[in-house]
Amino acid sequence: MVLEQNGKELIEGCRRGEPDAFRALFETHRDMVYSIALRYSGDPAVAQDIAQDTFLKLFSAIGSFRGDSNFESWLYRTVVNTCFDQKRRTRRLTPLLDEVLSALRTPDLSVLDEVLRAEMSAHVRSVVDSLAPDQRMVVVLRYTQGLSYDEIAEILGCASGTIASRLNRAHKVLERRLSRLARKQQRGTQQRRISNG
Amino acid sequence: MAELWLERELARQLAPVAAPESLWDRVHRQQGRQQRRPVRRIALERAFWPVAVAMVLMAFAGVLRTLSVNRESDQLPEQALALFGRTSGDFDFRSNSFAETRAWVKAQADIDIDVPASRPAADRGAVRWLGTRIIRLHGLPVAAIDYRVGDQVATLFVSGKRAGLTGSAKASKHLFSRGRFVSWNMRSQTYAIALSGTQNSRGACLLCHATSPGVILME
Repeated sequence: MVLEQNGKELIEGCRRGEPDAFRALFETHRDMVYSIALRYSGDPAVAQDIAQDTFLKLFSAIGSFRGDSNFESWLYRTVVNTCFDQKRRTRRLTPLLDEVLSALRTPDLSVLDEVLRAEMSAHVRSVVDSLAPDQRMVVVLRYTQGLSYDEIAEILGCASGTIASRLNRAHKVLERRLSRLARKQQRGTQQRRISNG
Repeated sequence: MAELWLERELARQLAPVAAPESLWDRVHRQQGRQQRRPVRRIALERAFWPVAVAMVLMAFAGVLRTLSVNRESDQLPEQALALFGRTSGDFDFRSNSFAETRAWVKAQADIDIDVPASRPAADRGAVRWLGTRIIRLHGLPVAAIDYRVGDQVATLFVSGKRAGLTGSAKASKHLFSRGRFVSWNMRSQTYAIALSGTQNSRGACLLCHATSPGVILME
């Protein structure tokens, strides 16, 4: 997470209020910000709100950003805090149904496979949503961004051991609740191979 | 460690996604709104800060003025002492009459000399007036009147009217400095008594007070 020279120039441009610099900084980080927001909230509409708020905070506070500190860590902290600040939304069932229905409409893949996959996706989403916010954020930063324990610890401002502990607890919950579905999915895949072979 | 299938599944299900193209429009639009909104806030700030600065300056000026008044009140005896030692015996007007002295000072410097008693002790023989001169302290006319109480010689200093001092006819709290000076404010003027020599300064209080030394009673 080392800030490149062009990144520094972008930040300087933002400090000077240059619109092109804002746009370039947005383009550089928009997927990362939106991905964390979406995986944390599970709702595209909420994710867009979070991403929007994150960038607005970023643009308004970039003047106070110290050039010698780590910009990406700062950005991560901003999006993480915005996620935590986001009011808990009523979990919507519609996206989960949409995923299953869209899978049924997919013509060139095994319907059963896709239904199971969509079911698994919905369940993962559901179980991730049920995690405590601090556990959920660790899971998102780990699996959406592929960050190390140390990097997550720096962003969340806690010890690496704490991150390991949170992730371990989250894994146990996820394993317990997803293992049955995983076995079902594996059986379905094996049966399909046998019938095809 | 989590089972491999779980890690794979999480990595697959929580994989990064592309942000919608419309996100920039949302951010840009909202940023524009926020930049317009601060105009009102800036306007308020523009109105607020000068007022705040003005209020702080006024408060500061008030404090300075108060300090200045207090300092002058305290400093007058010290300055008076220096003048007293330098000019003692060199009078502009000599009279043993308080009424004449008072009239001369009023005519020369427009300074009113009020002593608490309508008939000051001087007229009762306890105080003997020696002479008067007009001096200037920081551009302010000050009457310096020497008088003798017993074997002590003291000087009464009375300033012209000064802004910021109490206009009350009642003497303010007396400030004693080094046991040889006493000053007070009254009717927007500063009064001070400086004592020469090493005697007890309370003897000089007979100018205004019936008894001395010991408990000082305002008449």
